[in-house]
Amino acid sequence: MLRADDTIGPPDLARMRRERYGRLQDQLAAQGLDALLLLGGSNVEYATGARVPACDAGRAAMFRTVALVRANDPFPHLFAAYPEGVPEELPADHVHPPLWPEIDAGPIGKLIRGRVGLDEYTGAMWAAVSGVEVVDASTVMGRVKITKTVDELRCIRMAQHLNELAMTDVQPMARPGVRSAELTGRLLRRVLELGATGNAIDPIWQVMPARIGEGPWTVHGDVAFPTAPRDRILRDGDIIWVDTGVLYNGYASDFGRTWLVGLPPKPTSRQADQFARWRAVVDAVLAVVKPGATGGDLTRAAIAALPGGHRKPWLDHFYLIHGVGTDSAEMPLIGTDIGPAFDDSIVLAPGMVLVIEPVIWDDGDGGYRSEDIVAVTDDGWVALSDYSYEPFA
Amino acid sequence: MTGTRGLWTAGTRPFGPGAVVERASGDVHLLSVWDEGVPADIPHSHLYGLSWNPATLAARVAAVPGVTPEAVIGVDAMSPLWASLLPGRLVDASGLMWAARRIKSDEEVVRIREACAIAEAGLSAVVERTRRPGLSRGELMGAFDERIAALGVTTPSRDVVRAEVGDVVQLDAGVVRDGYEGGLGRTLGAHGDGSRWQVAMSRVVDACRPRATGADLVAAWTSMGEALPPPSLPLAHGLGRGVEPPVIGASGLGGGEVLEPGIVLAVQGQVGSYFGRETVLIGPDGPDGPELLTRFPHSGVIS
Repeated sequence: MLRADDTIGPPDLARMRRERYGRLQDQLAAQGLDALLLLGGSNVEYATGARVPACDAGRAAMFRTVALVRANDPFPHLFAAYPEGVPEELPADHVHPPLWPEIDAGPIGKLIRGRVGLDEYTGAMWAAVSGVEVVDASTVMGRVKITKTVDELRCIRMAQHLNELAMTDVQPMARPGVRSAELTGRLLRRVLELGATGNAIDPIWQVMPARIGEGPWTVHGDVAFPTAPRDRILRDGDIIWVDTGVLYNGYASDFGRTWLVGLPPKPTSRQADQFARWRAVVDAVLAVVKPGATGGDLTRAAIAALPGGHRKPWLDHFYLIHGVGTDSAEMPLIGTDIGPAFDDSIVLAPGMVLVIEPVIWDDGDGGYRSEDIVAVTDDGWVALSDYSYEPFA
Repeated sequence: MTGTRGLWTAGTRPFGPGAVVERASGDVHLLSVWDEGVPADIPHSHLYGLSWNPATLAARVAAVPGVTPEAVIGVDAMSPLWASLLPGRLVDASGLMWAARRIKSDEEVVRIREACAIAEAGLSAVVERTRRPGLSRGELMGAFDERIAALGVTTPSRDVVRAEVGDVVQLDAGVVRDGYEGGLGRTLGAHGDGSRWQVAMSRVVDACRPRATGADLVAAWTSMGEALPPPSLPLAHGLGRGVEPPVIGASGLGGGEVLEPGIVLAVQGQVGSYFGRETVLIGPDGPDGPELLTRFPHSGVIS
């Protein structure tokens, strides 16, 4: 049961950890696994609630917190690179010094036996782990993560809220002559002051070309986005596609908007029309979001929302919709190159989170892209994002 | 390996076949949808696009010349799913990669040095902020991120506030700039512990010389009577494109590692409530010894 009001309010983090762990144990039993060995940061966070500071990938890979979930064990075992982040309920005999799986896989090999779900091998583990039946942990993690508990939804809502609050300070800065890194500096400062627990992605303020051919070359001929940020000076008339994500207790926000640079920023009639079409696509999708609808229902609604002759209203290398949780983009992925049969196999259920990100592109006049987030409820959906579309509406 | 500028995301990344280098030709093939940030010596024909279908992406990798069912293919990481999709005999090549990355070129040292300078600038902003009492952890972290961004760097390597105990604030400042990490740690309000830390750390830094072992560094630290930091805080680790081997610490970790000129180490420790970290370049044999790449003061602003 999930009502819209359930997603509002502070999360109960202890309850959240308990419920997530219960789901994992259910899946271990259902899939006949003796244990789960997890090395990926978002998986470990999900399974244990261990707090790990947001850090660079090259640091995170070496200073790994590793989780071992044994079937029927009331608590996970944690090999903690950050002892200060260990959840209070873990018994002392389940908390261990860190392993160094990038360097020496010997100790890890001794932990597992039987049939084990594993998310990834380090190189050292690839050479060392033998004598166990290893299956990909994504069959467990994908299933438990795809619908969220009430507290997970509250964390996502809070992450998004903090991100949006900070953006009310950042957006007025996006004026001619300002460097994009200054926007990043203000955003990061504000989200941390407001209580975000970290930053998930180098904030993107990508200045979009009018034509695809004026941008980077792409393998598929579609728009290049998001490319790695470069510090550049914003100029009058720039169209910038904004994409950022911050963390709140392990859960990511996803802020996507199109901004214009000007004094004041003012959309052309063509740009206003692009926004109207984007809005029409989102409205058409939302009109069919409810439990039991399929991903295919949503992609068909999106395509039908535009009069004939328009391209598929999302980027070729992405999707119309993705989920968000302990990863910035996770299941459900709808509209990917996996194809329509896969979309049709996704059946919406209460607790799923949908980040809807259509793209309207008119080659020669650039395009409009924003992202809105909803959670599927018992009878429809509830919005988790709430930021203005200025200067378009 | 490829010199590509990628999008920075926090935390560990799941395995995917990001690049393929073919031994016979030396050609590099890269997973990238576009050529933005891709060095000019990787032609468009050598870019393969993203797919959300692992089988599709695996087929693109299998189309790279040299990737055959008979090939021996070194990998730096793997997942059970990908292990079932990729052709060839997959062997661990992480040791090969770590070995290639171990000794820094002059150009790499320049980047690490500049990253250290940016981290120091960010640390200055935090120290300025702490002169106003009552600021939250988030406000201190925000001051760091805003200052480094003003200098054009938007990727801190970790949270700058390591711990807060009463009036003591442990700071661990680091940034990634042009792909390379540099940084340092200092503690505010630890009083007398700081000078003891300096004495012990100066012994360790001085021991960072060619042919010294990990065990020698540990002995240098404990020779002053200081306890080794807990296993989660290695006394030293390599620094380059993030944290790299050697990792040296308690319980014999990395005790047999042998230092060579060109290795860059983060050297860190805690005495009482004082935590600090330096970035050190192992120099050639000779009287000059190691070079400290971090220069932020311990006295004056830091007590």
